[in-house]
Amino acid sequence: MEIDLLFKIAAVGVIVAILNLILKKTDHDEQVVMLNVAGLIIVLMMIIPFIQELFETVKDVFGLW
Amino acid sequence: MVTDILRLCGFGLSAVTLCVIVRQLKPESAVIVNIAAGLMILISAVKLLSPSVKAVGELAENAGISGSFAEILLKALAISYITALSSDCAKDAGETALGTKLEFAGRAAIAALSLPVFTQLAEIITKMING
Repeated sequence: MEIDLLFKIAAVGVIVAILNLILKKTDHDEQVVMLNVAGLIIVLMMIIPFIQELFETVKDVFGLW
Repeated sequence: MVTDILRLCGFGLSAVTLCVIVRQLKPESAVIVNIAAGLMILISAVKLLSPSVKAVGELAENAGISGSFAEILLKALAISYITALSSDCAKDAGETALGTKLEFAGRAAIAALSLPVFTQLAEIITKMING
């Protein structure tokens, strides 16, 4: 339960969206794709620990494996 | 318990608001926020569930039901939680086909898990038929 992580993810999204606009205005269209991919990867890296925590919790509670 | 659920509901509502705001700026990020919020809520919910699961295990033991059966039941429950979370995420992100396939995989896993119980049932039935 870390609401600040959600805000962080949302902030990354907003920053990427703003940079997107700037890059498009300055005719750097090919870098826009890279920026989007980078933003997505950063944000995915942030949630991977939580996926792991969920699986560990389910494993512990239900005695899987 | 009540404080937990109040915290969870507040968290969920803020996450929904955040999702709606971010969706207008960047739909991909909204999906990720959604998944992250879902994960955190489910982690807390499963932690809330743990005493009940223990109690069910003990009840089954006291009732003389073989431990492996209760274990299979709980494992099926765990599989369905994880599968439901991931297929819902896929459907929210607009990938309905992938979500349906995940659900199918979950059903297959549960069917494979409950195979021993089913074979035992079949054995009992054949014994009864043969007299």
